Amino acid sequence: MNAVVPLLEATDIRPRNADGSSFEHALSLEVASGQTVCLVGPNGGGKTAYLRALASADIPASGSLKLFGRNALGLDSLSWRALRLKAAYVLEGAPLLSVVNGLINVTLPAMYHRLGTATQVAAAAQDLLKFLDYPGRQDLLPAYLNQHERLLLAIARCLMLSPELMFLDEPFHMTDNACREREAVVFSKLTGEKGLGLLIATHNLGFVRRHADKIVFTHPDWVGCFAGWKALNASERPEVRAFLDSGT
Amino acid sequence: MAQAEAVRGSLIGWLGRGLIGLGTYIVDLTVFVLRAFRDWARRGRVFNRATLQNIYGQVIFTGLDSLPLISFLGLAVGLSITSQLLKLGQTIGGESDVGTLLINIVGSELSALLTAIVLIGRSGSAIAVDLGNMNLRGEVEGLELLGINVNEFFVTPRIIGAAISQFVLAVYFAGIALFGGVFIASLLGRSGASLHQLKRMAESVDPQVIAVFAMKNVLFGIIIAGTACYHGFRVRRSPTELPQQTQRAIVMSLVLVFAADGLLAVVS
Repeated sequence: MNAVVPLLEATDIRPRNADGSSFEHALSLEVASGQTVCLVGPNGGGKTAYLRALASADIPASGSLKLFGRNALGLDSLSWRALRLKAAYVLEGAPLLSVVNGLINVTLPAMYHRLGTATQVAAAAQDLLKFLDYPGRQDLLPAYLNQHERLLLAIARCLMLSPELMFLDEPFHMTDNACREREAVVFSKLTGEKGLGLLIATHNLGFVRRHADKIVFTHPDWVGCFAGWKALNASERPEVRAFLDSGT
Repeated sequence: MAQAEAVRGSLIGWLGRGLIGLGTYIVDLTVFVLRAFRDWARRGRVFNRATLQNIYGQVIFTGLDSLPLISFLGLAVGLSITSQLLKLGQTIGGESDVGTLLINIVGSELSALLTAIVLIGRSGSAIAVDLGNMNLRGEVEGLELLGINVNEFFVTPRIIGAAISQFVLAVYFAGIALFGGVFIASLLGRSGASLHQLKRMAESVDPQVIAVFAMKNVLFGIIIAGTACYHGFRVRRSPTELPQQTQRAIVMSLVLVFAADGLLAVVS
Protein backbone atom coordinates (compact mmCIF):
# COMPACT_ATOMS: atom_id res chain seq x y z
CA MET A 1 0.00 0.00 0.00
CA ASN A 2 1.38 3.41 -0.93
CA ALA A 3 1.64 5.90 1.90
CA VAL A 4 0.30 9.34 1.00
CA VAL A 5 3.24 11.73 0.69
CA PRO A 6 2.57 15.04 2.46
CA LEU A 7 2.71 18.13 0.27
CA LEU A 8 5.00 19.78 2.77
CA GLU A 9 7.26 18.21 5.34
CA ALA A 10 9.36 20.61 7.41
CA THR A 11 11.68 19.46 10.16
CA ASP A 12 13.24 21.87 12.65
CA ILE A 13 13.04 24.82 10.27
CA ARG A 14 14.65 27.99 11.57
CA PRO A 15 14.32 31.03 9.29
CA ARG A 16 16.96 33.69 9.01
CA ASN A 17 16.70 37.17 10.44
CA ALA A 18 17.39 40.15 8.20
CA ASP A 19 20.96 40.25 9.55
CA GLY A 20 21.51 36.61 8.55
CA SER A 21 21.32 35.19 12.08
CA SER A 22 19.06 32.24 12.84
CA PHE A 23 15.65 32.36 14.52
CA GLU A 24 15.81 30.86 17.97
CA HIS A 25 12.88 28.45 17.70
CA ALA A 26 12.52 25.62 15.24
CA LEU A 27 9.29 24.57 13.59
CA SER A 28 8.30 21.12 12.34
CA LEU A 29 5.18 20.76 10.26
CA GLU A 30 3.39 18.50 7.78
CA VAL A 31 0.74 19.68 5.36
CA ALA A 32 -1.48 17.32 3.41
CA SER A 33 -3.63 17.90 0.37
CA GLY A 34 -6.85 19.82 1.19
CA GLN A 35 -5.56 21.09 4.54
CA THR A 36 -5.64 24.68 5.72
CA VAL A 37 -2.76 25.65 7.98
CA CYS A 38 -2.81 29.10 9.56
CA LEU A 39 0.19 30.92 11.00
CA VAL A 40 -0.87 33.27 13.77
CA GLY A 41 0.84 35.31 16.43
CA PRO A 42 1.63 38.85 17.44
CA ASN A 43 3.35 41.29 15.12
CA GLY A 44 7.08 40.64 15.04
CA GLY A 45 6.57 36.99 15.94
CA GLY A 46 7.92 35.81 12.59
CA LYS A 47 4.80 34.64 10.73
CA THR A 48 6.08 35.89 7.39
CA ALA A 49 9.60 34.60 8.02
CA TYR A 50 8.34 31.08 8.81
CA LEU A 51 5.90 31.18 5.89
CA ARG A 52 8.65 32.19 3.46
CA ALA A 53 10.99 29.52 4.82
CA LEU A 54 8.27 26.85 4.52
CA ALA A 55 7.61 27.96 0.93
CA SER A 56 11.32 27.81 0.10
CA ALA A 57 10.98 31.48 -0.86
CA ASP A 58 13.87 32.15 1.52
CA ILE A 59 16.60 29.75 2.48
CA PRO A 60 16.25 28.91 6.18
CA ALA A 61 19.21 29.00 8.54
CA SER A 62 18.72 25.35 9.47
CA GLY A 63 16.36 22.43 9.19
CA SER A 64 15.09 20.35 6.32
CA LEU A 65 12.20 20.96 3.98
CA LYS A 66 10.52 18.58 1.59
CA LEU A 67 7.90 19.82 -0.85
CA PHE A 68 5.95 17.13 -2.73
CA GLY A 69 8.28 14.52 -1.29
CA ARG A 70 11.47 16.14 -2.58
CA ASN A 71 14.13 18.22 -0.93
CA ALA A 72 13.25 21.86 -1.49
CA LEU A 73 16.40 23.47 -0.12
CA GLY A 74 19.62 24.20 -1.96
CA LEU A 75 17.99 23.90 -5.37
CA ASP A 76 19.60 25.40 -8.45
CA SER A 77 17.74 28.30 -10.04
CA LEU A 78 16.02 26.19 -12.72
CA SER A 79 14.72 23.62 -10.24
CA TRP A 80 13.63 26.39 -7.87
CA ARG A 81 11.64 28.07 -10.65
CA ALA A 82 10.08 24.73 -11.61
CA LEU A 83 9.09 24.25 -7.97
CA ARG A 84 7.30 27.61 -7.98
CA LEU A 85 4.72 26.30 -10.42
CA LYS A 86 3.57 23.76 -7.83
CA ALA A 87 4.09 25.88 -4.71
CA ALA A 88 2.43 29.25 -5.33
CA TYR A 89 3.06 32.24 -3.09
CA VAL A 90 0.91 35.35 -2.76
CA LEU A 91 2.80 38.19 -1.10
CA GLU A 92 1.24 40.56 1.43
CA GLY A 93 -0.87 43.14 -0.37
CA ALA A 94 -1.12 40.79 -3.40
CA PRO A 95 1.04 42.96 -5.65
CA LEU A 96 0.21 42.62 -9.34
CA LEU A 97 2.19 43.88 -12.29
CA SER A 98 1.06 47.51 -12.42
CA VAL A 99 1.70 48.13 -16.11
CA VAL A 100 -0.76 45.56 -17.48
CA ASN A 101 -4.46 45.06 -16.86
CA GLY A 102 -6.10 42.51 -14.61
CA LEU A 103 -6.66 39.85 -17.26
CA ILE A 104 -3.10 40.03 -18.59
CA ASN A 105 -1.85 39.73 -15.02
CA VAL A 106 -3.74 36.46 -14.76
CA THR A 107 -2.65 35.05 -18.11
CA LEU A 108 0.96 36.27 -18.04
CA PRO A 109 2.57 33.51 -15.92
CA ALA A 110 0.86 30.81 -17.97
CA MET A 111 1.96 32.48 -21.20
CA TYR A 112 5.49 32.77 -19.87
CA HIS A 113 5.58 29.08 -18.95
CA ARG A 114 4.00 28.19 -22.31
CA LEU A 115 1.10 26.31 -20.80
CA GLY A 116 -1.10 26.70 -23.86
CA THR A 117 -1.99 28.90 -26.79
CA ALA A 118 -3.16 32.45 -26.15
CA THR A 119 -6.78 31.36 -26.69
CA GLN A 120 -6.50 28.39 -24.36
CA VAL A 121 -4.83 30.46 -21.66
CA ALA A 122 -7.45 33.22 -21.96
CA ALA A 123 -10.26 30.67 -21.71
CA ALA A 124 -8.68 29.06 -18.65
CA ALA A 125 -8.33 32.49 -17.05
CA GLN A 126 -12.02 33.23 -17.60
CA ASP A 127 -12.98 29.88 -16.05
CA LEU A 128 -10.84 30.61 -13.02
CA LEU A 129 -12.21 34.10 -12.55
CA LYS A 130 -15.71 32.61 -12.65
CA PHE A 131 -14.66 29.96 -10.13
CA LEU A 132 -13.35 32.68 -7.82
CA ASP A 133 -16.48 34.85 -8.30
CA TYR A 134 -14.28 37.72 -9.38
CA PRO A 135 -16.52 40.78 -9.21
CA GLY A 136 -14.30 43.43 -10.82
CA ARG A 137 -13.36 44.52 -14.30
CA GLN A 138 -10.59 42.65 -16.06
CA ASP A 139 -9.56 45.44 -18.38
CA LEU A 140 -8.45 47.84 -15.67
CA LEU A 141 -4.95 48.35 -14.37
CA PRO A 142 -4.43 47.00 -10.83
CA ALA A 143 -4.23 50.58 -9.48
CA TYR A 144 -7.95 51.00 -10.29
CA LEU A 145 -9.02 47.83 -8.50
CA ASN A 146 -9.78 47.39 -4.81
CA GLN A 147 -7.73 45.12 -2.54
CA HIS A 148 -10.28 42.29 -2.68
CA GLU A 149 -10.20 42.29 -6.48
CA ARG A 150 -6.41 42.41 -6.54
CA LEU A 151 -6.23 39.46 -4.18
CA LEU A 152 -8.55 37.39 -6.33
CA LEU A 153 -6.51 38.21 -9.44
CA ALA A 154 -3.30 37.29 -7.61
CA ILE A 155 -4.85 33.96 -6.59
CA ALA A 156 -6.12 33.40 -10.12
CA ARG A 157 -2.70 33.93 -11.68
CA CYS A 158 -1.26 31.39 -9.26
CA LEU A 159 -4.03 28.91 -10.06
CA MET A 160 -3.24 29.25 -13.78
CA LEU A 161 -0.09 27.25 -13.03
CA SER A 162 -2.10 24.45 -11.34
CA PRO A 163 -0.27 24.50 -8.00
CA GLU A 164 -0.76 21.93 -5.28
CA LEU A 165 0.25 24.19 -2.42
CA MET A 166 -0.51 27.85 -1.92
CA PHE A 167 1.13 30.19 0.56
CA LEU A 168 -0.66 33.44 1.36
CA ASP A 169 0.80 36.22 3.46
CA GLU A 170 -1.90 38.31 5.15
CA PRO A 171 -4.55 37.79 2.45
CA PHE A 172 -7.20 39.58 4.52
CA HIS A 173 -5.04 42.68 4.62
CA MET A 174 -7.08 45.88 4.13
CA THR A 175 -10.39 44.24 3.25
CA ASP A 176 -13.72 44.74 5.03
CA ASN A 177 -15.74 42.01 6.75
CA ALA A 178 -17.92 41.26 3.73
CA CYS A 179 -14.87 40.78 1.53
CA ARG A 180 -13.21 38.65 4.21
CA GLU A 181 -16.21 36.38 4.18
CA ARG A 182 -16.03 36.06 0.39
CA GLU A 183 -12.31 35.37 0.62
CA ALA A 184 -12.92 32.69 3.25
CA VAL A 185 -15.38 31.04 0.85
CA VAL A 186 -12.73 31.14 -1.89
CA PHE A 187 -10.16 29.47 0.37
CA SER A 188 -12.69 26.76 1.28
CA LYS A 189 -13.27 26.11 -2.41
CA LEU A 190 -9.53 25.92 -3.04
CA THR A 191 -9.06 23.22 -0.42
CA GLY A 192 -12.40 21.48 -0.92
CA GLU A 193 -12.83 21.50 -4.70
CA LYS A 194 -9.26 21.83 -5.94
CA GLY A 195 -7.62 19.89 -3.11
CA LEU A 196 -4.90 22.49 -2.54
CA GLY A 197 -2.91 22.68 0.66
CA LEU A 198 -3.13 26.23 2.01
CA LEU A 199 -0.72 27.96 4.37
CA ILE A 200 -1.99 31.34 5.45
CA ALA A 201 -0.27 33.88 7.69
CA THR A 202 -3.05 35.97 9.15
CA HIS A 203 -4.44 38.08 11.95
CA ASN A 204 -7.99 37.09 11.05
CA LEU A 205 -8.74 34.83 14.01
CA GLY A 206 -12.38 34.42 12.93
CA PHE A 207 -11.17 32.64 9.81
CA VAL A 208 -8.60 30.65 11.77
CA ARG A 209 -11.25 29.50 14.25
CA ARG A 210 -13.59 28.24 11.53
CA HIS A 211 -11.23 26.91 8.88
CA ALA A 212 -7.79 26.00 10.21
CA ASP A 213 -6.94 22.31 10.31
CA LYS A 214 -3.62 23.16 11.92
CA ILE A 215 -2.39 26.34 13.57
CA VAL A 216 1.22 27.43 13.82
CA PHE A 217 1.70 29.94 16.61
CA THR A 218 4.79 32.11 16.22
CA HIS A 219 6.10 34.35 18.96
CA PRO A 220 9.60 35.75 19.57
CA ASP A 221 9.82 33.54 22.68
CA TRP A 222 8.11 30.40 21.45
CA VAL A 223 6.88 28.61 18.34
CA GLY A 224 4.45 25.73 18.32
CA CYS A 225 1.95 23.80 16.26
CA PHE A 226 -1.65 23.04 17.27
CA ALA A 227 -4.22 20.67 15.81
CA GLY A 228 -6.89 23.31 15.25
CA TRP A 229 -8.55 26.12 17.16
CA LYS A 230 -9.66 24.05 20.17
CA ALA A 231 -6.11 22.96 20.87
CA LEU A 232 -4.80 26.52 20.54
CA ASN A 233 -7.53 27.86 22.79
CA ALA A 234 -6.83 25.21 25.40
CA SER A 235 -3.12 25.98 25.48
CA GLU A 236 -1.69 27.17 28.77
CA ARG A 237 1.42 28.69 27.16
CA PRO A 238 1.70 32.25 28.48
CA GLU A 239 2.56 33.58 24.99
CA VAL A 240 -0.57 32.00 23.52
CA ARG A 241 -2.76 33.15 26.37
CA ALA A 242 -1.43 36.71 26.15
CA PHE A 243 -2.05 36.72 22.40
CA LEU A 244 -5.59 35.35 22.61
CA ASP A 245 -6.51 37.51 25.59
CA SER A 246 -5.31 40.61 23.77
CA GLY A 247 -8.22 40.01 21.35
CA THR A 248 -6.06 40.54 18.25
CA MET B 1 56.43 71.41 0.60
CA ALA B 2 55.12 68.65 2.80
CA GLN B 3 51.64 70.09 2.43
CA ALA B 4 51.93 70.04 -1.37
CA GLU B 5 53.08 66.42 -1.19
CA ALA B 6 50.09 65.55 0.98
CA VAL B 7 47.68 67.26 -1.42
CA ARG B 8 49.23 65.44 -4.37
CA GLY B 9 49.05 62.15 -2.46
CA SER B 10 45.40 62.59 -1.57
CA LEU B 11 44.61 63.64 -5.15
CA ILE B 12 46.25 60.51 -6.52
CA GLY B 13 44.43 58.46 -3.89
CA TRP B 14 41.10 60.03 -4.85
CA LEU B 15 41.78 59.41 -8.52
CA GLY B 16 42.83 55.82 -7.84
CA ARG B 17 39.74 55.11 -5.75
CA GLY B 18 37.57 56.63 -8.47
CA LEU B 19 39.16 54.50 -11.17
CA ILE B 20 38.90 51.33 -9.10
CA GLY B 21 35.26 52.18 -8.36
CA LEU B 22 34.54 52.74 -12.04
CA GLY B 23 36.32 49.52 -13.01
CA THR B 24 34.36 47.50 -10.43
CA TYR B 25 31.15 49.13 -11.60
CA ILE B 26 31.84 48.23 -15.23
CA VAL B 27 32.61 44.62 -14.29
CA ASP B 28 29.40 44.44 -12.19
CA LEU B 29 27.33 45.91 -14.98
CA THR B 30 28.85 43.62 -17.61
CA VAL B 31 28.16 40.55 -15.46
CA PHE B 32 24.59 41.77 -14.91
CA VAL B 33 23.98 42.15 -18.66
CA LEU B 34 25.68 38.86 -19.55
CA ARG B 35 23.63 37.00 -16.92
CA ALA B 36 20.46 38.51 -18.33
CA PHE B 37 21.34 37.26 -21.82
CA ARG B 38 22.41 33.87 -20.48
CA ASP B 39 19.05 33.43 -18.71
CA TRP B 40 17.26 34.53 -21.87
CA ALA B 41 19.15 32.12 -24.11
CA ARG B 42 18.87 29.24 -21.63
CA ARG B 43 15.20 28.57 -22.24
CA GLY B 44 15.60 27.22 -25.76
CA ARG B 45 13.07 29.22 -27.71
CA VAL B 46 14.46 32.63 -26.88
CA PHE B 47 11.48 34.62 -28.07
CA ASN B 48 8.85 33.77 -25.50
CA ARG B 49 5.40 35.28 -26.14
CA ALA B 50 5.37 37.09 -22.81
CA THR B 51 8.88 38.53 -23.22
CA LEU B 52 8.27 39.37 -26.87
CA GLN B 53 5.48 41.70 -25.78
CA ASN B 54 8.02 43.48 -23.59
CA ILE B 55 10.41 43.89 -26.54
CA TYR B 56 7.62 45.36 -28.69
CA GLY B 57 6.66 47.67 -25.84
CA GLN B 58 10.24 48.84 -25.43
CA VAL B 59 10.72 49.45 -29.16
CA ILE B 60 7.47 51.43 -29.28
CA PHE B 61 8.32 53.52 -26.23
CA THR B 62 12.00 54.00 -26.95
CA GLY B 63 11.87 54.06 -30.74
CA LEU B 64 8.56 55.23 -32.14
CA ASP B 65 7.73 57.69 -29.37
CA SER B 66 11.14 59.35 -29.79
CA LEU B 67 10.69 59.99 -33.52
CA PRO B 68 9.33 63.57 -33.26
CA LEU B 69 12.19 64.66 -30.99
CA ILE B 70 14.81 62.89 -33.10
CA SER B 71 13.35 64.47 -36.25
CA PHE B 72 13.57 67.90 -34.70
CA LEU B 73 17.13 67.40 -33.48
CA GLY B 74 18.17 65.93 -36.83
CA LEU B 75 16.82 68.93 -38.68
CA ALA B 76 18.45 71.31 -36.20
CA VAL B 77 21.82 69.61 -36.68
CA GLY B 78 21.29 69.61 -40.44
CA LEU B 79 20.52 73.29 -40.36
CA SER B 80 23.41 74.26 -38.12
CA ILE B 81 26.28 71.82 -38.60
CA THR B 82 25.73 70.21 -42.01
CA SER B 83 24.99 73.45 -43.79
CA GLN B 84 27.86 75.20 -41.98
CA LEU B 85 30.31 72.48 -43.00
CA LEU B 86 29.14 72.73 -46.60
CA LYS B 87 29.67 76.47 -46.50
CA LEU B 88 33.10 76.01 -44.91
CA GLY B 89 34.07 73.50 -47.59
CA GLN B 90 33.11 75.97 -50.26
CA THR B 91 35.01 78.81 -48.59
CA ILE B 92 38.28 77.00 -47.98
CA GLY B 93 38.03 75.06 -51.21
CA GLY B 94 38.14 71.58 -49.77
CA GLU B 95 34.79 70.52 -51.15
CA SER B 96 36.00 67.05 -52.02
CA ASP B 97 36.68 66.32 -48.34
CA VAL B 98 33.43 67.76 -47.06
CA GLY B 99 31.52 64.59 -47.93
CA THR B 100 33.90 62.48 -45.84
CA LEU B 101 33.79 65.05 -43.04
CA LEU B 102 30.00 65.06 -42.97
CA ILE B 103 29.78 61.28 -42.92
CA ASN B 104 32.32 61.01 -40.11
CA ILE B 105 31.17 63.88 -37.93
CA VAL B 106 27.44 64.14 -38.51
CA GLY B 107 26.61 60.68 -39.82
CA SER B 108 28.79 58.58 -37.57
CA GLU B 109 29.49 60.60 -34.42
CA LEU B 110 26.79 63.18 -33.81
CA SER B 111 23.87 61.01 -34.82
CA ALA B 112 24.91 58.20 -32.48
CA LEU B 113 25.77 60.47 -29.56
CA LEU B 114 22.75 62.76 -29.77
CA THR B 115 20.38 59.81 -30.21
CA ALA B 116 21.99 58.15 -27.18
CA ILE B 117 21.55 61.33 -25.12
CA VAL B 118 17.86 61.47 -26.06
CA LEU B 119 17.43 57.81 -25.17
CA ILE B 120 19.22 58.21 -21.85
CA GLY B 121 16.95 61.12 -20.95
CA ARG B 122 13.75 59.47 -22.10
CA SER B 123 14.09 55.71 -21.85
CA GLY B 124 16.99 55.20 -19.46
CA SER B 125 15.34 57.24 -16.73
CA ALA B 126 11.93 55.69 -17.43
CA ILE B 127 13.29 52.14 -17.22
CA ALA B 128 15.08 52.86 -13.93
CA VAL B 129 11.97 54.47 -12.38
CA ASP B 130 9.69 51.73 -13.73
CA LEU B 131 11.77 48.82 -12.42
CA GLY B 132 12.55 50.64 -9.17
CA ASN B 133 8.86 51.19 -8.49
CA MET B 134 8.01 47.59 -9.36
CA ASN B 135 10.71 46.39 -7.00
CA LEU B 136 9.47 48.64 -4.20
CA ARG B 137 5.88 47.44 -4.55
CA GLY B 138 6.84 43.76 -4.60
CA GLU B 139 5.69 43.27 -8.19
CA VAL B 140 9.02 41.83 -9.27
CA GLU B 141 9.20 39.38 -6.38
CA GLY B 142 5.56 38.42 -6.99
CA LEU B 143 6.52 37.31 -10.49
CA GLU B 144 9.72 35.60 -9.33
CA LEU B 145 7.63 33.53 -6.94
CA LEU B 146 5.61 32.36 -9.94
CA GLY B 147 8.77 30.93 -11.48
CA ILE B 148 9.34 33.87 -13.81
CA ASN B 149 12.96 34.74 -14.39
CA VAL B 150 13.12 38.50 -13.98
CA ASN B 151 16.28 38.77 -16.04
CA GLU B 152 14.56 37.13 -18.96
CA PHE B 153 11.27 38.93 -18.45
CA PHE B 154 12.38 42.44 -17.55
CA VAL B 155 16.03 42.99 -18.45
CA THR B 156 16.73 41.30 -21.79
CA PRO B 157 13.65 42.64 -23.60
CA ARG B 158 14.50 46.16 -22.51
CA ILE B 159 18.11 45.80 -23.65
CA ILE B 160 17.12 44.32 -27.02
CA GLY B 161 14.40 46.93 -27.52
CA ALA B 162 16.75 49.78 -26.64
CA ALA B 163 19.55 48.45 -28.89
CA ILE B 164 17.20 48.12 -31.87
CA SER B 165 15.71 51.56 -31.20
CA GLN B 166 19.11 53.22 -30.77
CA PHE B 167 20.38 51.80 -34.07
CA VAL B 168 17.25 52.64 -36.09
CA LEU B 169 16.90 56.10 -34.57
CA ALA B 170 20.59 56.90 -35.19
CA VAL B 171 20.21 55.90 -38.86
CA TYR B 172 17.10 58.05 -39.07
CA PHE B 173 18.86 60.93 -37.31
CA ALA B 174 21.83 60.71 -39.69
CA GLY B 175 19.52 60.68 -42.69
CA ILE B 176 17.56 63.70 -41.53
CA ALA B 177 20.68 65.63 -40.47
CA LEU B 178 22.60 64.97 -43.71
CA PHE B 179 19.85 65.11 -46.32
CA GLY B 180 17.95 67.77 -44.43
CA GLY B 181 21.13 69.84 -44.08
CA VAL B 182 21.98 69.63 -47.76
CA PHE B 183 18.39 70.37 -48.70
CA ILE B 184 18.13 73.38 -46.39
CA ALA B 185 21.51 74.69 -47.50
CA SER B 186 20.48 74.44 -51.14
CA LEU B 187 17.21 76.20 -50.32
CA LEU B 188 19.23 78.98 -48.72
CA GLY B 189 21.13 79.28 -51.96
CA ARG B 190 24.50 77.97 -50.83
CA SER B 191 26.10 76.77 -53.99
CA GLY B 192 28.20 74.10 -52.25
CA ALA B 193 25.04 72.25 -51.40
CA SER B 194 23.69 70.14 -54.19
CA LEU B 195 22.78 66.64 -55.16
CA HIS B 196 26.43 66.36 -56.18
CA GLN B 197 27.31 66.75 -52.52
CA LEU B 198 24.99 63.91 -51.58
CA LYS B 199 26.74 61.72 -54.14
CA ARG B 200 30.10 62.54 -52.58
CA MET B 201 28.75 61.63 -49.17
CA ALA B 202 27.48 58.31 -50.45
CA GLU B 203 30.89 57.59 -51.95
CA SER B 204 32.57 58.29 -48.58
CA VAL B 205 30.64 55.52 -46.87
CA ASP B 206 32.64 52.31 -46.74
CA PRO B 207 31.69 48.99 -45.11
CA GLN B 208 33.99 49.61 -42.14
CA VAL B 209 32.20 52.88 -41.33
CA ILE B 210 28.86 51.09 -41.50
CA ALA B 211 30.09 48.21 -39.31
CA VAL B 212 31.52 50.55 -36.67
CA PHE B 213 28.35 52.65 -36.77
CA ALA B 214 26.14 49.60 -36.25
CA MET B 215 28.34 48.18 -33.51
CA LYS B 216 28.54 51.50 -31.74
CA ASN B 217 24.79 52.04 -31.69
CA VAL B 218 23.98 48.53 -30.55
CA LEU B 219 26.56 48.96 -27.78
CA PHE B 220 25.03 52.30 -26.78
CA GLY B 221 21.57 50.70 -26.60
CA ILE B 222 22.93 47.90 -24.40
CA ILE B 223 24.68 50.41 -22.14
CA ILE B 224 21.61 52.63 -21.78
CA ALA B 225 19.08 49.90 -20.99
CA GLY B 226 21.55 47.72 -19.07
CA THR B 227 22.57 50.58 -16.80
CA ALA B 228 18.94 51.60 -16.25
CA CYS B 229 17.87 48.05 -15.36
CA TYR B 230 20.92 47.58 -13.12
CA HIS B 231 20.07 50.70 -11.10
CA GLY B 232 16.32 50.05 -11.18
CA PHE B 233 16.88 46.70 -9.47
CA ARG B 234 19.08 48.35 -6.84
CA VAL B 235 16.02 50.09 -5.39
CA ARG B 236 15.19 47.85 -2.45
CA ARG B 237 13.02 49.13 0.37
CA SER B 238 12.82 52.89 0.54
CA PRO B 239 11.22 55.23 -2.01
CA THR B 240 14.11 57.62 -1.37
CA GLU B 241 16.37 55.18 -3.23
CA LEU B 242 14.38 55.70 -6.42
CA PRO B 243 15.56 59.20 -7.39
CA GLN B 244 19.10 58.34 -6.25
CA GLN B 245 19.31 55.28 -8.46
CA THR B 246 17.63 57.03 -11.40
CA GLN B 247 20.12 59.86 -11.24
CA ARG B 248 23.00 57.36 -11.05
CA ALA B 249 21.59 55.47 -14.04
CA ILE B 250 21.52 58.66 -16.11
CA VAL B 251 24.98 59.85 -15.10
CA MET B 252 26.62 56.46 -15.53
CA SER B 253 24.94 55.93 -18.91
CA LEU B 254 26.33 59.25 -20.12
CA VAL B 255 29.80 58.46 -18.81
CA LEU B 256 29.84 54.99 -20.35
CA VAL B 257 28.38 56.06 -23.70
CA PHE B 258 30.97 58.81 -24.13
CA ALA B 259 33.76 56.53 -22.92
CA ALA B 260 32.68 53.79 -25.34
CA ASP B 261 32.46 56.29 -28.18
CA GLY B 262 35.96 57.54 -27.48
CA LEU B 263 37.29 54.02 -27.21
CA LEU B 264 35.71 52.96 -30.48
CA ALA B 265 37.05 56.08 -32.20
CA VAL B 266 40.57 55.13 -31.08
CA VAL B 267 40.23 51.45 -31.98
CA SER B 268 38.50 51.81 -35.37
